[in-house]
Amino acid sequence: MIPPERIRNFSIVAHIDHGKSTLADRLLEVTHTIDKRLMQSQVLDSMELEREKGITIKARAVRVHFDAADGHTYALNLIDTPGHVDFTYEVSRSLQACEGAILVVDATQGIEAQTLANVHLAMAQNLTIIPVINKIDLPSADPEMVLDELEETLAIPRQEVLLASAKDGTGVREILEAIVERVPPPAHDGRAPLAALVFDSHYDPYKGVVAYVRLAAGTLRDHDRIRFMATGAESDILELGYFRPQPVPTTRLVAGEVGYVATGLKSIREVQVGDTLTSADGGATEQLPGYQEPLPLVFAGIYPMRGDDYPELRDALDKLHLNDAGFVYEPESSVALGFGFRCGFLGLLHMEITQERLEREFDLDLIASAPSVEYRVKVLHKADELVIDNPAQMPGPGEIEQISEPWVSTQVITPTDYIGPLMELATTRRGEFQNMEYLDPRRVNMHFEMPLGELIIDFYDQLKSRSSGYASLDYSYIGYRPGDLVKLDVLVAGEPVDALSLIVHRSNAYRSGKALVDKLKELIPRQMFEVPIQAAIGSHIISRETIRAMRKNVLAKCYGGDITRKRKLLEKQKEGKQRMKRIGSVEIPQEAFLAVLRMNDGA
Amino acid sequence: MTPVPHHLYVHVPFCRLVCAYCDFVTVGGRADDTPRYTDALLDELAVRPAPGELRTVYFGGGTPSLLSGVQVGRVISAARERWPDVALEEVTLEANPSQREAPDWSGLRAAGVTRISLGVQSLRETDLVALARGHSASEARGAFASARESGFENISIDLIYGIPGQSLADWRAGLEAALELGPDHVSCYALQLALSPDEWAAPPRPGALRWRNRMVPRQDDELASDQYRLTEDVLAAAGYRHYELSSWALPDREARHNSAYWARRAYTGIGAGAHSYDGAAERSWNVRDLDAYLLAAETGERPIADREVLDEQIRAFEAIALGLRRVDGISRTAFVGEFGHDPMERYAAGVAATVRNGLLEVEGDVIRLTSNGRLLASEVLVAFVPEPPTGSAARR
Repeated sequence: MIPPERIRNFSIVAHIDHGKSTLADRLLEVTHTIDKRLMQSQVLDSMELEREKGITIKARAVRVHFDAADGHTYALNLIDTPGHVDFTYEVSRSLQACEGAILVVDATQGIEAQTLANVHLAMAQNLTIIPVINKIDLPSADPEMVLDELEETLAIPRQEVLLASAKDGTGVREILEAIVERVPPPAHDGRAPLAALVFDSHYDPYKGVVAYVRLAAGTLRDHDRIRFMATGAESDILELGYFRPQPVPTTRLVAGEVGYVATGLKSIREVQVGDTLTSADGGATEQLPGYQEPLPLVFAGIYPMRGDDYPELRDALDKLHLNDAGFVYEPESSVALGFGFRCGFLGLLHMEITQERLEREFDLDLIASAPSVEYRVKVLHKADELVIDNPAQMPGPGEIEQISEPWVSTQVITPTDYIGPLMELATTRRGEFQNMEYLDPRRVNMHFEMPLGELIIDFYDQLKSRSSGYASLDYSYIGYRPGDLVKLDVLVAGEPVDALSLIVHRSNAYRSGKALVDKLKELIPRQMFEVPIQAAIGSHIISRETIRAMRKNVLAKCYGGDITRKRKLLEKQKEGKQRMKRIGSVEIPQEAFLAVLRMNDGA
Repeated sequence: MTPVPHHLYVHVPFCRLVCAYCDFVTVGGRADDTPRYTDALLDELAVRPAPGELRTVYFGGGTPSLLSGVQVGRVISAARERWPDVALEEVTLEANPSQREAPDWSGLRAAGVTRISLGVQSLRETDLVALARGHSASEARGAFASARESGFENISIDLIYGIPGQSLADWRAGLEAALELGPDHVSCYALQLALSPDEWAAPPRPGALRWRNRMVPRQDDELASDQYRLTEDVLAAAGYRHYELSSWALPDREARHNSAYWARRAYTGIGAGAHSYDGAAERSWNVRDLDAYLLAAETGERPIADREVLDEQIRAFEAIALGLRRVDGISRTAFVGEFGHDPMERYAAGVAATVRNGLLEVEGDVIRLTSNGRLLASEVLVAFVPEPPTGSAARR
């Protein structure tokens, strides 16, 4: 049994691809936690998708034993953090479970926006920062530049910075020694009422919800009855343990320790990240600070490509929902797309990952509507505000007193070469420039405030393409602000196409409307009659095109009595028509919808 | 009791030049095989049943005029011998108006051919060059005159519109020039250049596909539909009756053989790739490949490739699809009499839309395409396509 003063709890803060997972692997290897031969690259990223995208979605905690130079053996708990902007809250909870954080910066890339945001989070929670410049083995490594940046932007003295190559193992022992020396042991009041921070959870079909906890005070025993303070859920512990990295059951965890609790609870919603676990009887009276309900920010309609797949999609969403507290959904239907679900996500990446998991793990073909945010709408002569996450549900312009939309504060770190183009990008997206600071002579950190609705449509891709991939982005929600927003409808032969409605700023309405109308004109095949396509705000038409009627479709010749082939052609034609979606009497190929929805992603 | 009419189609696949737009069973450079092929046709005829009363014979191709009068005569005689009941009303042969392969007009006449279908296609040199027809307008005029001089009283000509570079005025001039020849029957076809494998009977040669790829972007559906309208006006003014989507005739000069297809009468097709219909529930067709056809026929078997049994729904659909090709349309009562339901009712929703859009009209007992509808015949017919059997609808 390792005494509490020889426990160290720490996280790794790094940008995507800067080597966090490789470093974590190396730490497990050097401490003999896992046999080198059995080492599957990047053990901590356990989901296939995480490994492919190079990001960590679910935090994991691993205990390693390290024989330090002082002759003692230490228990080091590595608490892995998600590395993406959508999961800022999860990151903050993981950091709250630690006393120290290793800041990993790529020697060839320098500091990126999300890293900076996360280091600020860690510093705000008084964590000890151990700065590490990684990838010093690369020929293009420029540790001097990174040392300057760390000094300039985070006031980190050069002599505190460790140089390492997680790939070849250089400096890994030194990092472990630094954790032991610099990171304080956790406070360990084992007698106070039990209070444990839930910093992650997942659903296990056999053990129910498994909570990942850091004990702040008290002792947790494997036969305790526990209560989650925010949700009020209670249960008996089915299993208590820690990870090395496979689960190791134990009989107790004490203040300062990190481990897992299998609760047998059936819904992940009963075990929210940030909640406080305590004893069911005579537990803590106050929650640990910082708990927030998960806040979905980005919304989209998700529909099965084939209407028959609706039940499968429902099952798949139910299953994903079990394991992802940040994801919400409810059924909706669309004239154009049929039956589907309105889904809310923590952010864009979260949406992308969820869609991909649905398609990959559940073998579904999906259509997603353009992402939207939640608008708050004041209706004339009514006291209550409407909350609208689907543009199609927006009331008519005559009924609206005011629309408010969520705003975010963004920071963009970029080489100075791209300041101009990125400034322009942000301003065309209604970004309001706040200030800019130099990280070093070649890189700046620009701050904007902008509507989230503008950010979620293609902003990140544009940012990458306009900066040749060098710029990085972080954003955080700052609140609702009123805006001159309008609902833009698309009408095909006079019928509104609900799936294509958009909420846009009035100044962009004409441009967006024209782009949609032009694209539809190109994609909708000629019909037996003339089809007008219009973009409208309320009853006011702002753009119009006409698809002329089809003039000719006839098989002029009968091939020497070959009636069969002719019939087969007509059958094919009919099959094609049946796959089409109908807006009024107009038949529109599904591909046309897809192309327009993709255009929304990219316009 | 009146005997059941029967019809014989004879496919002759040989061509000196195979046209890049053609989708029929054709083979170039094999004209030396015509004697062997004629024998094979007789072999096949000998093993095919000869039901009903033989009313028409039609030599289609390919280029049937590459056969000599003697060869054609052998086939006609064999057919006359094979059928117990013969009352020939029409023996048509498709001919190519090229000097280099000048048809054996008097030989054909002597063999019993009564009607010529001449592949004029256009009387405008640039069109003939664009289509690589291998004959000139004056050769076409000459061929027509020679056929008349040889005593053919019933001559049809084929013309093609929708050719890239052919304006509305060009088409009018070509039509009028064609009428000066005094044809008894005119067939006008839109140049259809199928690019999608769905529409191919067999993959076109790479050269033909390249040619189509070049031509298709230069085609203009709007212009082609104007050309069709103009055709209706010009031919009507000249006394030709529009009786089928692509066919116009002077009084009593309608193509009897083709009319049998549209009336769903029984026909026997012999030759490579030829189709047959028993007049009831079975369609069947021969192998397309010339050598495979020859070998099979020579062993004394029918060179059949496949057959299809039509269920009631499909037969009803065919009755509509073929009936609507005729300008006179279909009789509702006759249809109800045969199939027990009204064609306007079974697929009411889709059919109603075609009526609403002015493509189909119902007048008393008659259902027919409107003038707009003739140009959009496929759109109308799709509304009548039966639902696939439920089993095959589940694709996953």
